[in-house]
Amino acid sequence: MSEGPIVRVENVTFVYNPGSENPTVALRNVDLTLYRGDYLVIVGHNGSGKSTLVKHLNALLLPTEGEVWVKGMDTRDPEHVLDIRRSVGMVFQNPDNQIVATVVEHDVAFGPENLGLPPEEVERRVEWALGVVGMLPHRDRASHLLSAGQKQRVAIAGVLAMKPDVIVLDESTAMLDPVGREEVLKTIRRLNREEGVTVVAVTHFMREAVEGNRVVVMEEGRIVMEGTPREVFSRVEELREMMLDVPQPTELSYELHKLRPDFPPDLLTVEEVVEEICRRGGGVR
Amino acid sequence: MDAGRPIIQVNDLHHRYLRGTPLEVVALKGVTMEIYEGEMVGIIGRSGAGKSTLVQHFNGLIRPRERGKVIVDGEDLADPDIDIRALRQKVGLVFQYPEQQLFERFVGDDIAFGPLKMGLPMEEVRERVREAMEMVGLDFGRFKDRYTFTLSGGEMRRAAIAGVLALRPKILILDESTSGVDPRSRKDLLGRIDALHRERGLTVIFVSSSMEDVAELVDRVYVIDDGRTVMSGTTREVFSRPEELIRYGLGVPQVTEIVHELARRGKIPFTTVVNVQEGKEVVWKILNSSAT
Amino acid sequence: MEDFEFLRHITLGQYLPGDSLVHRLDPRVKISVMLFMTVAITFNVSYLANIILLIVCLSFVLLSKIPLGYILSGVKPALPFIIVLAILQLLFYGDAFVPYGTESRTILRWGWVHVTSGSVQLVVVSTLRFLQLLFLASLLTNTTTISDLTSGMEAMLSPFSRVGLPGHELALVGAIALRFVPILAEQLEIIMKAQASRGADLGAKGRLRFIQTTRQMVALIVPLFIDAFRRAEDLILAMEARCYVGGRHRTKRVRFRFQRADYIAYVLVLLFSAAMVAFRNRMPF
Repeated sequence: MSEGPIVRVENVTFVYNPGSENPTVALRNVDLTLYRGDYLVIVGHNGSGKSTLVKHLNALLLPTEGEVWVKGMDTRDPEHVLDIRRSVGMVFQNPDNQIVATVVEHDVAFGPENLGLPPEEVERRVEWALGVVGMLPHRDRASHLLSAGQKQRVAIAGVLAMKPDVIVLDESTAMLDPVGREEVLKTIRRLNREEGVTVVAVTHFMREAVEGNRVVVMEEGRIVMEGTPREVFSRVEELREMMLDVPQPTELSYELHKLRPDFPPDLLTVEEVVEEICRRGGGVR
Repeated sequence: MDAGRPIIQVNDLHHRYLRGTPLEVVALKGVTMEIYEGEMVGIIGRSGAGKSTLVQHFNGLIRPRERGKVIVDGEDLADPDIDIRALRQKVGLVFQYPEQQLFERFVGDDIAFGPLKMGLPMEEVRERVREAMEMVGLDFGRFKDRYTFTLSGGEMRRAAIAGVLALRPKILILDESTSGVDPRSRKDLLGRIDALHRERGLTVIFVSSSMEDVAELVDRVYVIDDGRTVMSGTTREVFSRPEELIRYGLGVPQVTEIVHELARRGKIPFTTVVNVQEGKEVVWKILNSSAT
Repeated sequence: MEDFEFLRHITLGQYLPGDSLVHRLDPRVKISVMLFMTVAITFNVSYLANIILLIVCLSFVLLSKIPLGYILSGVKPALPFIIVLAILQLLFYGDAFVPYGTESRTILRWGWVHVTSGSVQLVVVSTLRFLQLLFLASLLTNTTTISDLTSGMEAMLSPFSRVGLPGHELALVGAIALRFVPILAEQLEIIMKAQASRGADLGAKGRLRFIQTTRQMVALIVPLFIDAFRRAEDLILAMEARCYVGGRHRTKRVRFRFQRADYIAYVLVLLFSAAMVAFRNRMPF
């Protein structure tokens, strides 16, 4: 879109326990710009600063140095905190620890109720948000009886019901099994493509990183790589050096490229690899 | 692998939680499997399939009380008179997120919990702690006096696994114990588990829902779904039936999928690869045949 | 082994889904019924009154379709204490309790032992009362979700907000506390099993006293507390991220409307309890 960036992180440094005996520098001069409609994936090891960075996006943490601007609002300005938090929603890792109410629809209503919206509007949003994540049939079920994937979808609906511009998912698939993970990914994809929500996802799973239009790699509080998934994952050697994974299709295409330079080194998905091989003809009987 | 005699035999095992209450949950409804001494076997299935309930039978945390039998190293676990402490020492069970069970101030003390409980002399305890720490790659001198809760996530995970290894178990069960850490720690752990198996001859039972990890580590797998054994065989055999795996909420690694898809399109006869190396060889042949 | 499952066997406070008349009643009615009945029970010490009250409580249980055995199974762990207490009261209470309008007759006197008609009545009535209260408390929690229970409390407390009683906050705190009870119980079960797996004397044969040494207790308590604090921190972040700033500006939604059955139940129990209190001294025995 033609309008300016929705979030700007400018030269942010963040120190845990500043002034204490053991201050920990978690972010070092980080710059990041987020545009409307982006699906940005942040990867990196534990302690690389991913979580610290995303907590700056909705003023859960404030920069020690530098600035974070959300829709033209400075996160350090206490006046804007609530406006920023309703613009940038956040889903966390542990599905059990972010559900407030015991019934699905009451939990989804928690955010809109905090905003003091009229009851009919709360009702409307709850229904819409549950519909988007595909949990409407479970609206009056007890939240603790849901599967982990369903709980995360309820958590997403709870954030969605505040109609945010950006949804941040901080390792929200880490505790799920493959089925749950796929459910959540499908939901995020849908939010981004159909509802136009800007997405920031922190993850360890490189398969998920392929979903985004941009990937950021962090190491020791810095952004060390940034680009489209294809750009980032084509740097297989560097990623391996950092002990990060590469999606298997990319690894395969990279290995084939080493043997045969005319084979592209940066294919991302199963389909791409299969298409490329089929395009070249040949076969073994 | 047909390495040795069966060390764990499970026959038609059933289990219900909260038996006889309105909240009764059927967790197992017919699991059968046989695990041989010295092998590394995988147990896979979606969450809620009954994997944890099953492996908690192996060290007597849950005892067979309904239909079915569990025999571990010749002992029938339904027998109320077996020495349960000896069993738990023989069968080391590591839980998911095992770092949540750490409690001592110093790393070394925490790992020493098990050996101390066994009533071993101090020298022996120290030796076991040293050995266990070495096995997980924590340097004894450098880590034993570190504060437990200042360790990184990956280090805590390794310390917790060392706490079980210090019992010197013959069988090591890892119940999703490699999930939830970053890729660096995961790779490191997988390598160390493999080494424990190959170098020390430990029988390893690897419970997971990550097909990539399973492919990398184990030779033989059992698939559990809805409380039953639904598939079994070598990893390759099981991966060659992707439709069934998908039905059980699982899948195959992406490289396996690529080769299956190439076969479906008639490029090659049906074949199943389990890792990127094998996939590369298959595709290499196709590419070369087109050059001629 | 059931040794590790004892926490799951707590029947009080466990919601059992169902569609009985009792399940469908408005939570405010159920809370009121509980209060009215408790008052009636407190005022009545005669045999007849307590038999009537027990029958009424039993009929509530039948209406709820909750198996009687399930409710009673919850008492099992406490049974030894209750029996010891009853015997002590029977043998040593003597003339300490003289029911209204009766003369305490000595039935047996032997050394320290002094059994009177008063102490017999005390023991019998206490047992009946215990059952009545158990039935009421179990029913309330077995047929009402935590969410309904706390919303009901909040609604009942809201008139007092004018005098500064933070009804909403109290209800929210209560709801969250109750919500985390089963999660922490499950966590404790896992911790116990994990420590048993590495040598703790938990659940071994002949060692039903699971907490034996302080060291072993530490091995359970420390991890449980760390877990609880971590969850609390997570929850605070999640609530803040969803714009929670207290109850002041929140949307107030009416979640309950009295139905015909609610009015009938409310009035019937109110009249019955009032009658029981009014006629408490006119019971023939």
